[in-house]
Amino acid sequence: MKQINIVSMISADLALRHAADSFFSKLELLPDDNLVVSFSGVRSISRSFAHEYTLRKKKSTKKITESDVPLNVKKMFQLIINVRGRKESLLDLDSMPVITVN
Amino acid sequence: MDYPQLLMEYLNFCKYRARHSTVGSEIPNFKLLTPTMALPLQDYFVNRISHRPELETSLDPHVITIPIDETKSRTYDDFKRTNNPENYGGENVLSYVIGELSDNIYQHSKFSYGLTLGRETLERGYCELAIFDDGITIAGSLEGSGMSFDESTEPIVRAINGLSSKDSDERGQGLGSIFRLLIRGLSSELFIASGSGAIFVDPMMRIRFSIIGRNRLGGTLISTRIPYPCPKIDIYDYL
Repeated sequence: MKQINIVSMISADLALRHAADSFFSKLELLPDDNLVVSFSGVRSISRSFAHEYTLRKKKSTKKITESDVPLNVKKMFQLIINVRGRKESLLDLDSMPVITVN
Repeated sequence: MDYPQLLMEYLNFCKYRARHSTVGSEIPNFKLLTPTMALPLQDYFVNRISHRPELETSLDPHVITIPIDETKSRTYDDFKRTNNPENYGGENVLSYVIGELSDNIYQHSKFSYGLTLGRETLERGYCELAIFDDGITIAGSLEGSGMSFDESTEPIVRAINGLSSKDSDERGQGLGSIFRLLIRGLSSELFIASGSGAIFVDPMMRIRFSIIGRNRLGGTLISTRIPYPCPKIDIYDYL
């Protein structure tokens, strides 16, 4: 089982969807079928990165597991699962006055 | 009514741009400008009128250019070199805000010039952070996916409420999560100008602005003022 450290391949701050995408494209090229992605050293993760990681993992031909996942990263992956597709109407368009500035 | 300060800073940029384009004027001292004024003004000088990339480093070295090539993006690391994350709500808040907003630029804007800047004006009781791109605007991105709107502020409001140009129910969470984090979590002010529309929100006030004619922005500017000292929060309570 091959172990890959995500910090050394991307960054300690996992932010961009593109980074998750290209990370998985690299994993797909490895000869091993079973991969362990170590999150050791990860400082932060964006919702976008976590979402893209989850999507790509689901589509991957490899069996991928995670290790050394910091609590904040675990929470973000959990958030992706818990709030999937749920959106909140934060602003009511009609109750906001419009002022023309010209 | 008095306009919110973040809108006034944006309008200062518009006034300067109008004056410069008609009678010409000297380049101001960028180090004295707020991020909300400095970023669109830098775009105006470097990207739109002069095409003088050498100006970029001389205007204000604290302004961070967001590289077009995503693989070269280290925006959060660059931001931290000149700003203390603790003054922006801590590492988790700041990395989340910069990560999501810069990813939005890559995902939606088709930009050619992107900038971000933070100023820690602790003596005034806030830190201001802005991020700018010269791309197709929020309206342009959504309209490119076949959506249409009655007026210019509607796309901004609907993007905050979860509308996305990407064809998936799971997309469109980024701006809304930034809104919850900044407004509910940190009691910040948020100003977004994009094309001919703008909005201002703080914990007390929600206003839309139609910014037409000389006040239109070719791109998107997102600015926030985070109160200092700001409360320590767990971002997961707000995402």
